Amino acid sequence: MQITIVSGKGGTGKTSLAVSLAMTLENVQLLDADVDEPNCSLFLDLDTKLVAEAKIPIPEINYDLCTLCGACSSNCEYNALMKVPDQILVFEKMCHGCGLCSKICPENAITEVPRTIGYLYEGENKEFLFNFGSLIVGEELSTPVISQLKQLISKDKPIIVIDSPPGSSCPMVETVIDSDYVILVSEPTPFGLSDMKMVVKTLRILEKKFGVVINKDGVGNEELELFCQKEEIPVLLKIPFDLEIAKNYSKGVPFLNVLPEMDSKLKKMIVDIGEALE
Amino acid sequence: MNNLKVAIPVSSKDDNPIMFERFGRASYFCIFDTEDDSSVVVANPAVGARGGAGPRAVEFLSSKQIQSVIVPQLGPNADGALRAAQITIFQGEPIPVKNLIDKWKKDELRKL
Repeated sequence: MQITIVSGKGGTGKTSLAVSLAMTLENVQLLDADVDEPNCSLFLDLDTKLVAEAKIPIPEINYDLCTLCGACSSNCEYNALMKVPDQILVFEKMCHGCGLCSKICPENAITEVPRTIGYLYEGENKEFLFNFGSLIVGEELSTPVISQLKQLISKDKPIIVIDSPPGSSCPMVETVIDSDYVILVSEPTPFGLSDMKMVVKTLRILEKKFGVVINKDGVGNEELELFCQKEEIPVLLKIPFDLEIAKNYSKGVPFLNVLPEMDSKLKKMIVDIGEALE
Repeated sequence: MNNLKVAIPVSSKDDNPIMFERFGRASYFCIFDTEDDSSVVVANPAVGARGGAGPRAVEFLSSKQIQSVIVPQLGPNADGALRAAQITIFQGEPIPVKNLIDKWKKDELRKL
């Protein structure tokens, strides 16, 4: 079972929930797919090592064959290629690695060469397997790093917990696209609700089963819960707004260690999710 | 002086608009031709690009045989593209294009 934890707004508690949830489960794999800012490892006491590089293919022009016809640049969706009088410029960071240019070049003058844009890491502690991806600073495309990170999903683990990037754009979609269930963490504030609505819309288009975890319960207002009731979205769990949680968070201690009663609540949530999927 | 074409980003097709403050995202380019002191305003095909508007605009100008541009600030991609296309870059300012072209003719604009 693959469960992905998303949020609309950043800072609502995806990582806290992902780490705490994974720690309550046995024989689990935790994947930190927030490759722009992976931070699950701050809460985990294990060593990680580099296992792979995330790469995308970019075009290389062979000028022995190129006739400067411009078919590549005029058809590039991402404006990564540009024809000037004596050459074709390649803007590496604009390139999404789709490969169209190499396929349509009438002279077969384009070959694709790999370019490293991120790194993939792994750490293990007994039955707890942890992977995360990290986008190289200055790179713009997190989606291919996430897609290559997901190739490290273990077939031997019964439960995979994935920490998604925030928002509702391509990186989030790539993270949830093959998940069985999505947990949407939100905080009960107008800002939290507004961003959550966009994620709800996205998840419905993707036809994903999902439920909501309300974090920092007690701040803000009732609007979030009313919205969930109206939209018939199950509220799976509430995590209280508690200064002790925040204090410990800043020391890298997940809320599970602050509120021991959360252990059984998180376990029950997984049982509930399993039932919802039947 | 040889026949030269110079392009300036503008936001309207008005007779004498002020230079627009962005290069790749300008709605139009005012193209001035020294051969007959004429100017035309053409739509910039890169204005709605999701990304890479700067290089795409340069490609367009290059296809129009532009030799020089008078620009506001430039991003690194547009800058690199202009240099690769061997288009000379002059620093503009947000004043009406006719005044800007006069300054350019008198060689009062800084070459970048």
